[in-house]
Amino acid sequence: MWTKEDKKNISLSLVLFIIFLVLSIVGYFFFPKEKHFSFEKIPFFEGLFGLVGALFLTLVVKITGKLVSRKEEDYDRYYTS
Amino acid sequence: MIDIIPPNLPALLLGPIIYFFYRKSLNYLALATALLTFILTIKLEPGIYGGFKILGYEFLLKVDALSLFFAYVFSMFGFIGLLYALHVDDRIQITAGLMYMACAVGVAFAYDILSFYLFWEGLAIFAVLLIISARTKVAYFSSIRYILVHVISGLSLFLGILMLWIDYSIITLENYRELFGTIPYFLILLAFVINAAVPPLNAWLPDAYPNSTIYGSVFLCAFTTKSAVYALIRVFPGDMLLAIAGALMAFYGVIYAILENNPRRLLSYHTISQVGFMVCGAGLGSYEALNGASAHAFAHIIYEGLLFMSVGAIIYATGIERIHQLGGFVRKNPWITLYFFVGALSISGVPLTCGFVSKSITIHSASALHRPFEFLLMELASIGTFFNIVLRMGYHIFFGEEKPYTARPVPWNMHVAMIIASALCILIGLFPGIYYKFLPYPIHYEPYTYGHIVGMLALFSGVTVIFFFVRPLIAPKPKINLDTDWFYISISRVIYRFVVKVLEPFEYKYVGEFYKSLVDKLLANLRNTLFLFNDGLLISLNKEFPLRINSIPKKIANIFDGSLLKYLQIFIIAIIIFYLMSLISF
Repeated sequence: MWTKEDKKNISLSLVLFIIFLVLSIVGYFFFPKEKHFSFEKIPFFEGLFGLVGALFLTLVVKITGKLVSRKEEDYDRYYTS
Repeated sequence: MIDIIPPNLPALLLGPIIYFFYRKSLNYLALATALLTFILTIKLEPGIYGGFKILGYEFLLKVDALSLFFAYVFSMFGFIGLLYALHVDDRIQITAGLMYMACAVGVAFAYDILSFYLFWEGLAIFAVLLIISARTKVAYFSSIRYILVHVISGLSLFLGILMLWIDYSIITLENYRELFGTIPYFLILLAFVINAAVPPLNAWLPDAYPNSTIYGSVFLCAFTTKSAVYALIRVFPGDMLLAIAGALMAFYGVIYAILENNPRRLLSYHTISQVGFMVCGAGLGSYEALNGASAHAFAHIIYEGLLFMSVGAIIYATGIERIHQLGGFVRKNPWITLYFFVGALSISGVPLTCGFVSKSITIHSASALHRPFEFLLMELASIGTFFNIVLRMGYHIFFGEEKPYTARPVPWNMHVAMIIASALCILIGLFPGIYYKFLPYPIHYEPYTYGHIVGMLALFSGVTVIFFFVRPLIAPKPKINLDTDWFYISISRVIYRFVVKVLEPFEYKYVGEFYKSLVDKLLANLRNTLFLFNDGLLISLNKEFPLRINSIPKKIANIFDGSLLKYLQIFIIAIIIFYLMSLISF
């Protein structure tokens, strides 16, 4: 389960996240870059995509794990017999 | 006469010699040969060369920017890998590594399809030798599966090139786009796709790489998939199916990687994911995308090799190969931790590393071509790569709870190999302008813009927040994950049982009876005749030869002591002498 270290790491990474939130909003107004898709026009798209994408990946991984994961002792039964 | 010396010729000639006369000191010769290959590659001028003929068939070499770019990294990485394995006292691993590199360089330069096919098969053979050199039961079974899969790849390539040769009289490796829809097109595409490990044909890769030795997997991760990427760029640029398959592949590899507990198997799935970027680039087909695929292949060989080397060093030091048993490794050996994190940051594409300047070309070309599906899947794969390698693997191996284990020091040559690879990762990231000059097609792309740097870092900071929230949920557990090989293993098992339980008794009972009279009459007579010949003539020779042995000087007589290795050595020397004589007569 979550340890004390995790709580410290979460607050540190939130600080980082907010720093880049500020930086990319600065970039949105002062350093515009070429955008090819409509969803890229959302301010701070990358950071939000990082959050949503990582959550989505965790979800997919948990579901896939339920389907394909087996006990390690079963390796021989599947692969070397 | 031969126009140029093919750069892989010294390695191909010296490899067997090193094998048959192996001493540990010959590792240095192998290393020097790899360096010579690199130097010969640098000296090449673009053009088409030939002149080397066997039985009237002329082998051709094509040197252009694309083949040079891949040959640089193949030969350079062959040197790094052999340096990493310099302390190994094993003839198979050293020579197979050297010859594997030579075959990869051969694939990059081959212009006529026959020599391309020969080097392609060479890749499979030496990969199998590297896997089996682990000498464990698991490695034996994986190598059998590896052979079966690559025989299918090799045969379908062979059939494809024979059909091209006969039906279309094409004997050179070109862009085959205008053949779309014909049978040879799909046969050759199937061969390339198997070697590039595109799902669902990917299972041989994570099956074989973790079961080799730590040195073997360093060579394995570099050559087979990347020569397939080279072939796809050369032969099938712009096949839209490839673009979609590549993007799905990038995503698929990452999902499986996050489930893994074995560090080398985890990295193997990341190899699949990263090769997905290259396959997607080859499929997108614009000059920028092809450049992106080549640039990513070059960078990928170096950072994936670095990751495999540092994980191999951890396994060498601790003897543990499960992430859940490791933890707090940074306090045992901070240097390996440093190399690992250079590789980890490179593979996820953090600014100032080679992944940043190479991966973003492909992603940018996907958005420039307005393909949101590929763009989003590749971005998701980038997220997963950072999430898994830097955060999950980095946290659970190097930080986190310290587990009870001891770590022994690592030899100097492994350190030097990892330092060279780390330096290359960072130098490419710092000077992308120089790196882009070597790319096969003209490029106008600037990776270091404010928006791009901040965007990537914002993406990764978002991922970091989520990682620490869900860390206990995805912590490594002692589990294995079934891949698509489950299907063909199960089917083969059913077939095997059918043969043993049904066909074999049937054959013994009925078919055997049918042949019994034939065997009794014909074969028994033949055997008796041969037996007579053996008893009469050969035994008498055997009896007489030792009687005359006194007339032979003792030194020559000692050669015939029955050692098979010695006979093979004489055989190899004779072949080389004959070969050199034949060169003179051209």
